[in-house]
Amino acid sequence: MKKRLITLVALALFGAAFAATPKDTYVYLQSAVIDSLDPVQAYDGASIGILENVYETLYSFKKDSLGEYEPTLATSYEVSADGMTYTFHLRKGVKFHSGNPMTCKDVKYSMQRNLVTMPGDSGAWIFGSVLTGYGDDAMTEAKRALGDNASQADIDKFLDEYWKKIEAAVTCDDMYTVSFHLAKPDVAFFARLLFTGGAVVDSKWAIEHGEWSGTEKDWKDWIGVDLRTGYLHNHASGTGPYKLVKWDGNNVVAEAFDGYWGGEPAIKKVLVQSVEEESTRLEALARGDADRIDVNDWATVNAKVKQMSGVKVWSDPSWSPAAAHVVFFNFNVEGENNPYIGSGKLDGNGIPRDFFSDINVRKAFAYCLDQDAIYNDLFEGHGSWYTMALPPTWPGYDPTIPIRKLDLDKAEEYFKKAWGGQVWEKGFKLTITYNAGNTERQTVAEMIKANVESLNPKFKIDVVPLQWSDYLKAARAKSLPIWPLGWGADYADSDNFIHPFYHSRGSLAKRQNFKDPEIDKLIDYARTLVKPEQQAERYEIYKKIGRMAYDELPNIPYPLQSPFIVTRDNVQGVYYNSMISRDFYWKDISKK
Amino acid sequence: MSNSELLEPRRERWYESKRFKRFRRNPLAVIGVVILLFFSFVGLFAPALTADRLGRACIRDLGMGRSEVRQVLRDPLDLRFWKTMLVPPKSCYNIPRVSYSPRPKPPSKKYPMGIASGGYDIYYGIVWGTRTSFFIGILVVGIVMVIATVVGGVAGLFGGWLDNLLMRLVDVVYSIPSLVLAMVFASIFGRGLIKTMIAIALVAWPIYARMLRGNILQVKAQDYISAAHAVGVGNLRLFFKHILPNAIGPMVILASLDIGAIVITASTLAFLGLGADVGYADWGQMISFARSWISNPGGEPLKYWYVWFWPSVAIALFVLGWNLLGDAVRDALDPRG
Amino acid sequence: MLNYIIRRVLQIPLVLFVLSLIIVGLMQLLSPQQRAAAFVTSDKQIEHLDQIIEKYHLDEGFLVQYGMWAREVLKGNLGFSRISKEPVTTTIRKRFPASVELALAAFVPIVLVGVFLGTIAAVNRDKLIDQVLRVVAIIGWSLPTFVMAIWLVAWVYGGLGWFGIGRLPNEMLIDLATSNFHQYTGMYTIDGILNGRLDVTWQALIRLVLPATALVIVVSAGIMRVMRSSMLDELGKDYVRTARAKGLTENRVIYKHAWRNALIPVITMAGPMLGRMIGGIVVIELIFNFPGLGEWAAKAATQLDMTTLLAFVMLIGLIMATVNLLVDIAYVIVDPRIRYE
Repeated sequence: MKKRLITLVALALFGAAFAATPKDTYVYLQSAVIDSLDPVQAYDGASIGILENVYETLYSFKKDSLGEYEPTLATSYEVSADGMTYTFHLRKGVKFHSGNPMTCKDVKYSMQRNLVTMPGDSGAWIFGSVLTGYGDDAMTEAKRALGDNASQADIDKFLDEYWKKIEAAVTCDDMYTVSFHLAKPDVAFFARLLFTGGAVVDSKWAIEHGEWSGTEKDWKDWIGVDLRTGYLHNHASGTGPYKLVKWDGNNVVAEAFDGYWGGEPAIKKVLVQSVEEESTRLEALARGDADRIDVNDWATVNAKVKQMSGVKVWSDPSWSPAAAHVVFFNFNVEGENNPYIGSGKLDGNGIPRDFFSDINVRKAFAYCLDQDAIYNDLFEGHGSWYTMALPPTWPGYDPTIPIRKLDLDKAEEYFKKAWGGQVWEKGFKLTITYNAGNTERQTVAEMIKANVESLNPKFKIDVVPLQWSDYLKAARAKSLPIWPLGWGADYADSDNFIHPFYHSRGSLAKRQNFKDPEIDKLIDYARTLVKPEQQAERYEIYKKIGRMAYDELPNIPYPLQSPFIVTRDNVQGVYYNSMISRDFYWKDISKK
Repeated sequence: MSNSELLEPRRERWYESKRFKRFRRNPLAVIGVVILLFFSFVGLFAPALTADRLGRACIRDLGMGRSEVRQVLRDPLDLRFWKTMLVPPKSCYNIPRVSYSPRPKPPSKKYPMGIASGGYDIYYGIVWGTRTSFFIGILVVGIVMVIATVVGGVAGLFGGWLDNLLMRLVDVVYSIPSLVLAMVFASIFGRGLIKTMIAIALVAWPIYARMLRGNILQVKAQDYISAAHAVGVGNLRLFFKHILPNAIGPMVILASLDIGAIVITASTLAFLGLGADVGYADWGQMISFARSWISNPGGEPLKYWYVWFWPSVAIALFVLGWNLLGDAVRDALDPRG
Repeated sequence: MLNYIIRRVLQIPLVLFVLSLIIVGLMQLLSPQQRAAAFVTSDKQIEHLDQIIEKYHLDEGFLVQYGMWAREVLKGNLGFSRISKEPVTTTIRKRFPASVELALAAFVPIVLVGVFLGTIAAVNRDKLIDQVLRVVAIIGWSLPTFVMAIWLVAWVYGGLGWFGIGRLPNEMLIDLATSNFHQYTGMYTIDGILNGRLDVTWQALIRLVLPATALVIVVSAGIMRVMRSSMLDELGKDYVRTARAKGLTENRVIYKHAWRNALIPVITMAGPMLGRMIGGIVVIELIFNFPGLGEWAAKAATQLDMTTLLAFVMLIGLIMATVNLLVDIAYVIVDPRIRYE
């Protein structure tokens, strides 16, 4: 290593490094940029990564467990017999960073703030859809229900009804007891409450600083507001172990809160910096200027990080991300003059709109996706296999379902069977799209293209990157014939995957015009199983759906990169929880 | 020897002119020409130089089998050889992916310049990237000249408020650093080689429009023009037959010689993520693949040198060649320096 | 003269106006859905495209869109930057000093190096040193700035371990955030001194070396060439021959007379040079992790944040117009033959 005289002199002369950061300071360099520090507005990993340490929810994740939960701001709870009322008993003696005490008033305010503002690009719908029954803010819902030409009187009436629902959704039975009243039974409500949107905000402090008053008086002013313009966007008073000192766009500085109810953490100062250049992050890690950094992929970890001294890579084959990636087939491609289906006919220059409705076509494509290459080349052998569109560590996942690996013989066999042999005879031309910039999806698309085209010169596939805007437009219009896509969990319940991917009205399955009435029935039924003793049955249903999906092949699940955490080797206490945005809480780690 | 030959002075050929002799004697000019000839050779014969490593889609579009392709592309007597050199299929411009691994692999016998992140064959990218660089340079200059001729020509022809307006427009566009404006245009138009070229052209034309207009005014002021005008030759005829042809020459020459600057802008845009589609043979884009592998903290510093070295040297040499040539031509035309 | 200046100053808003028209006009080429997509960061918000279109009036015509933007601007509200997640004016206030610091750190060496080397080359015309300098200059001019920056990161910072990336070391950033450090100018070099924190100034200077070097190499090459050729021009003129004949020493001839006149074309180059520098700063800030305006704009371009881009282009337009005006004024002062009506 170059740690010789020259480097020492250089260090002294040029001060190129502050050798190691102090023991009580944690420096984390991440690649993404924070969007907002308002708990209601934030919906991206980088922002939530800060919020989960500054604010707290009623219950939180117990270190690396997905199923066990830690009582945090609540110490216990009950669910009513009909599953429509959840009552939580709050912890006493908890203080906010401002010094104000936490009571039921704050819990109620925080949740209702979600329901009032419901920003379109936030996660507030997670609560709205079950507490008021609405997934969008009051004005949008009003327009949707009443039409564009509704009178002001009608709109006001609608708004009043909406407000009543907000009021009814959360009640304070006493200073330390809060009840949530659902609009309909929801199997995942408890999991939803762990999402940072439900974090408890210091209502007195927020109101003092110009946020919503908490009453009907000014609620209409806050409907659908972009909260990035508010005080909570870059200021915070929560109950979490760390208080926000400042956020200047690129850097978040946080300090341990000495009034934290859970006792003072080992790390006293935190700096989270957004550094887009990976090489800069790596340099900082190598020199000890950073304690943890984001690294793009296993290839970089193996090629670079493992050569560094003083660095540790945390990983375990059992870890898997709270996400699923699949290749979608469109059963009935829509869109006039659709460039992705060529001529629109099975004549060698295009595909008919229902091309993928033939199971043989889907199977043939599935056997053309080289899952081993993804696992071994792309992820250098560190991946998670997916048998269905659900994270492998989540309940309801069936690991015994087979995975179709690359098999060009079988692919050829199915292509020859497809559409009565016409596919093989006439050939086809179609376009696989992916959103530009995503190398993983580009690779999947190109793999499929390479293998399919190798079977028959009449098979022509174009791989086209779409600008984000074009991609969204096409996806909404259901005009993409086949495309790779991923989905990350919003809350820790398997229904958050099963419904979108397999229910005909699920947000993802909708775009592919996939409908299997039997699967729909099963999912709807599963949603009624809200009692704890019914969960086992619910998870069996999901496994069954996974097996049905193997036979029906509405989408091809493929492996995901195995998660890893890169830190300096003096960092201790690191664990991995796929639902904690940045994998672990700051309060649980320390440095030697 | 007839009488007429004695009386008429022999027309000097361009290669005998003083200017050319000055040019020829300038060593830097010679180097510039040599560099560009080298790149031209590489660009023209790109299919032959990469015959053994063409991508599957490229081979399929050529309509031949893999071994047949290799034979044909080594045989200059075959007509198909020349057809491929001149108009290869579009799919050949995509760099073949040897593997899908994000990790680069060092140069080896089969891959003499190494493999970039994502499995892209660097040698292939450099060779075909030569064509892309020429395209970009020539096409952008072409578009620039069209726009500049129209704007400058209209301004010079009509004069008055139209001239004023157009020259103010020139000022406005010129007032923004070209990279910044090109970035804005490129991001609006989206990715894609042609769109990016239009974006760059939209930014580069002002200076030439102004130059053309100035030349037109100069020519207009010449005696023979006013003489013709007095005799009754129509304005438009005068303009298109005499003024414009004389004014346009210097602009064309100088625009062509700024290809270097255009390639720099294009490669910078590609590096930023605007530019041709991912995987297209473009030097700037190849450097953006290399971004994560430029430094190797904690390990051997220049371990992945080949990922950024070859494309950056290619760009630097290419631009250098044009700049040397451009400088030398300017020097030769204008003897003061 | 004063008239001329006033006229030029009044032209600046006009230039900015036209620029804004061009950009907003170009944006209209994109459909409302495409422009709305820029507000959506994740696939999950796909259902909200219509809401976004309505909220920001993206389906209205060009005049309405422009009118809305212009109205806000005249109120002093330049909009909200989706890149920096804060109002545009706040970002500019924060990032402007960073870019200016970098520009200034490069500007002085650029001028010194360019003028100095150009003079030496001219004075020693055709000798070895001239040839060498010309080659160096043309290589420097041929390098894209980002290539130079990458080479510096790879070899000097990566390989030798000298200097640093980013404006300040991370630990210092935390320290400053939690102490009483007051940002008077936003430039760490100066603020360090004003706060009595010379260590801050030192660190800031160290981290300016590499990015400034990248700029210097590329831009000073251009200055050098212009300086050389204009110096040669001057040295060939009659008055120089006369001065020599009169018996003035060579040095006096060169530096007292020819040199000053030779500077004039170099001043003319100041505009284009600044343009090239600003373009270079954009890329350099990205590679060296400097949170300045250039980095902000580069991200805005790839993510199509029109608000940011518009504000950035306006700002640059303003700067360039001002610089060009100052250059023209300097021109008059330096060359008594020039007069503007």
